[in-house]
Amino acid sequence: MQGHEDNTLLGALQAIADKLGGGLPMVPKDAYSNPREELLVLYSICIGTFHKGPVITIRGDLYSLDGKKVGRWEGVDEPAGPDSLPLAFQQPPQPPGPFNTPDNTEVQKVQVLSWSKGIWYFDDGSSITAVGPAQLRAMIWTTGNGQLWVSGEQTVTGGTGKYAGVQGLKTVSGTSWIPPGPNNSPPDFNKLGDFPARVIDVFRLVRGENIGPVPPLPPS
Amino acid sequence: MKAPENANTIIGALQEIAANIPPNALPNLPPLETKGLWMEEVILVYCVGEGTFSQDMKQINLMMDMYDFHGKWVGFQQGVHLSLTPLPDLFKTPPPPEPPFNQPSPVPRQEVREWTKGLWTFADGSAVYAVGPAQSHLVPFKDGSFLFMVTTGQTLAGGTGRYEGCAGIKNATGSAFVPPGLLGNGFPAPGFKFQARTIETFRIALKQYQAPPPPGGGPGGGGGGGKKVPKASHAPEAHESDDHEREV
Repeated sequence: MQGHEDNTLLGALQAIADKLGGGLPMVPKDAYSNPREELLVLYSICIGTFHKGPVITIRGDLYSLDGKKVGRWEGVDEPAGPDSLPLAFQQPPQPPGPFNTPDNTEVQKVQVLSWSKGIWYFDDGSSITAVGPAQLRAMIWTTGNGQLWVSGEQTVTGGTGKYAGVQGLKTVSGTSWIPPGPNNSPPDFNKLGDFPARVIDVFRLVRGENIGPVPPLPPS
Repeated sequence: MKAPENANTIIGALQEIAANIPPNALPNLPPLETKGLWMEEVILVYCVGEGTFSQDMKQINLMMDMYDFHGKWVGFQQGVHLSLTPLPDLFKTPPPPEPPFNQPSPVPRQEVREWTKGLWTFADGSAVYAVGPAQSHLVPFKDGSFLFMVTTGQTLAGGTGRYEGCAGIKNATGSAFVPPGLLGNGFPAPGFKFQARTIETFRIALKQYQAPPPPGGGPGGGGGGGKKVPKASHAPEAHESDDHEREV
């Protein structure tokens, strides 16, 4: 990062840019475990559609954290069963501790509430596909609006272009909101049609050119 | 007081502008466009810390410091990851899902064999609990090293301080580098410790912005599938309609 010691026009402009965040990497380098790992933190402005089934489809434009459009994506989320939406209104019980040891501490096997698949198209022509479970959570705001969150963990199943042969994992953090019903009646979480949504996707990737063969494994 | 070297020059003026820009001029990360309604709190952090295998090697404890994307320390997390996935399966990748992706179509379902729980404590002492399923993956590099990855989609399950009574979600994707020769010969091993790094996203509704839960806990009666769903509108631009109550 250049500072005031650089007494040039470029140096002064760089100092301004640095103060405004322009000198910061969008994904901190300390979030990486290895230089061959690629991290993408993208957000999207989306339109979702509630179909009979019920099934949700969603599509949106992808942006990097500095607001540059980098692509688009589309995906499908299918509730796991007829009790998925009712269960989304219920908060899971607070997990018991301890949390600071791996031993003698129980981890609850929570029920999966929905399943998701998606494809992410990048503006250079590359793409990534992924699948995985996604938890649903719903509530009503004091304004009368409904709220539906989708919290997904997905496995990357492949890609094209620069992501041909890619492996990795990703997360989906989705939010959508629903207007109050008429005359302050409750919002309808089931009506078919479009709704607005915002999503943050975090990808941890290793490109195909860096991946080696699966080694002989020791006996389990 | 010594006069600035570049006083009365364009460079000097720009340097003065730079010097007077406050630190809080840094951009919001994540951008405000990532939020839903204004009451929703969205937090994006990364964590750096230590993982430890349990004696039975089925669980990993994470003890990590938590930073915002400008590098400021914002708290710490303590979590536990349960994995019943055999080591060979960690190298497997599910088959690519079939298109289409822009209309209703079958979504593959995998067996879930991993789960997480955790406690995230923020700098002001407030904390949130969360639970959720997880998936892991091992990527072999060409030099014999590996990248161990975990992803989890969680639901908030309580909170303290300003997060008492909160609702919402969070998720995390983390990784750990496994040097050549260590897989199966230390990683994993009972009590083995390793460095881990995660990126985590929280979406939180504070208690004061939440309306009382609907009668029965929500559409369908709060867990009893097959009940009638209350009718209302879903979105202002809805172009499909369903004028009938239907079952969920």
